[in-house]
Amino acid sequence: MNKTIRLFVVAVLLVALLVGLESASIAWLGANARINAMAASVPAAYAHSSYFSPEFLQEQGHALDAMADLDWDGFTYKDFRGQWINFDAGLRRTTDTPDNAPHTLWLAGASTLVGFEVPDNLTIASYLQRAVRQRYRVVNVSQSGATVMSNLRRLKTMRILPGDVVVLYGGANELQAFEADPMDAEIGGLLCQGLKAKLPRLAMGRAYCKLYQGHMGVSPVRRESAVLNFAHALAAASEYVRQQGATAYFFLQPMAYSATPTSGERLLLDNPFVNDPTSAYVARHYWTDAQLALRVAREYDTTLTCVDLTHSLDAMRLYGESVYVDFDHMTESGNAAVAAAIVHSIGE
Amino acid sequence: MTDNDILMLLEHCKTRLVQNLLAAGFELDLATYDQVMAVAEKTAQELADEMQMPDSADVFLTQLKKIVDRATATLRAESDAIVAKPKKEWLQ
Repeated sequence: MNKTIRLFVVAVLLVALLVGLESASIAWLGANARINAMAASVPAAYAHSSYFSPEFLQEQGHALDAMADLDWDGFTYKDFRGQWINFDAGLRRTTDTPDNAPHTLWLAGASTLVGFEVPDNLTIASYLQRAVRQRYRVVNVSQSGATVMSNLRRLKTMRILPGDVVVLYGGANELQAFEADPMDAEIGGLLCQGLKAKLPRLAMGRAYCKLYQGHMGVSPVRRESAVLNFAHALAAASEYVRQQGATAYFFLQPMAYSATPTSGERLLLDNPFVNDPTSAYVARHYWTDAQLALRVAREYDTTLTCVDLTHSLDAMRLYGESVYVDFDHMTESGNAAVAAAIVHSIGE
Repeated sequence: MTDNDILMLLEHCKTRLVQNLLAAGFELDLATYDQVMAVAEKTAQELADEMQMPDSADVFLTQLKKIVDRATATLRAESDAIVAKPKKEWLQ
């Protein structure tokens, strides 16, 4: 066998190996998918949720797929109809809205406000609507993956009027601006970050990142710039809202590592298919940076009211109530408590 | 410094302290939580007393980081002490 043929055989074997590995990764990711982990036994946060069922999980999966390709800047209008989960023109449906209300309460955040984890009537927006009754019509313009800056872009496409209230809510996605630092990260963490950034569809890469448990590495410089960017975005949003004659509030969302997780919560928090390891790592170690950003934002714009809800659910969790599905997504008891905290803070 | 600002410092101290404790494998329960929060409250008040209003927000971040770094060291020592003590002793 000459050299060319040997090279050809090696190349074919290598391709076959990679194809096999990719197929195995796809199968492994599918077998361990979030929906399977959730369906295996009723998660503690859903212990009292009568709607929780395989059918609900299936609908949740369909809704996530359907809304996954929404484009923030272009604002793609899209409907989704389900028994529990509905979107009207790209916006998660809020129930109990009044026919006529003097003002609008705009609710702008990310997936925790979209609330795929619960039916329409149990989102934070719907709890808020029931609390403010006829005084405001709550419009939830939230979008999975949103940051304050992308929320601001979306708010600029809305008709905000004098007397309206704009509630910005989040924090977790701002911290995703942190990136691996070659000087700090272990090589495995860098590889995971690189694969996520450059080859997000590669199943082998996704499987590797699920298995990787080491240090991701975060640069102090990137951390500082993320804090300043977050604070600038908050100040810009506040200024825009004020120009419309409305009032802005920012609420830093609660998260699971604010206290010892309940034993029920821990089952899902330890599952990398339910609780994204990278996001959870950043939240667990760098949440105080988001808190710093709130203080800095207040220096940029003293009219902005920032409320830190990081520990707002600690008490109920210490009493044994499981609230979290992953490090920041909650079921209805958490949503109700957050809505109550927002209502209290805006003085309604 | 407004009440809202002090409250934000308090939340920061709480988070830092809880992070230290969880990283050390300490299990927070109802009984210990109040004690832990009292430590955070004391540290936050000390920070608030030290803080001065700077000329610009960028300078503020530098100042804030210095103070927070010092608080982090204090909270690290406090959390190490909490972890080292048997729970009964800590609650007394």
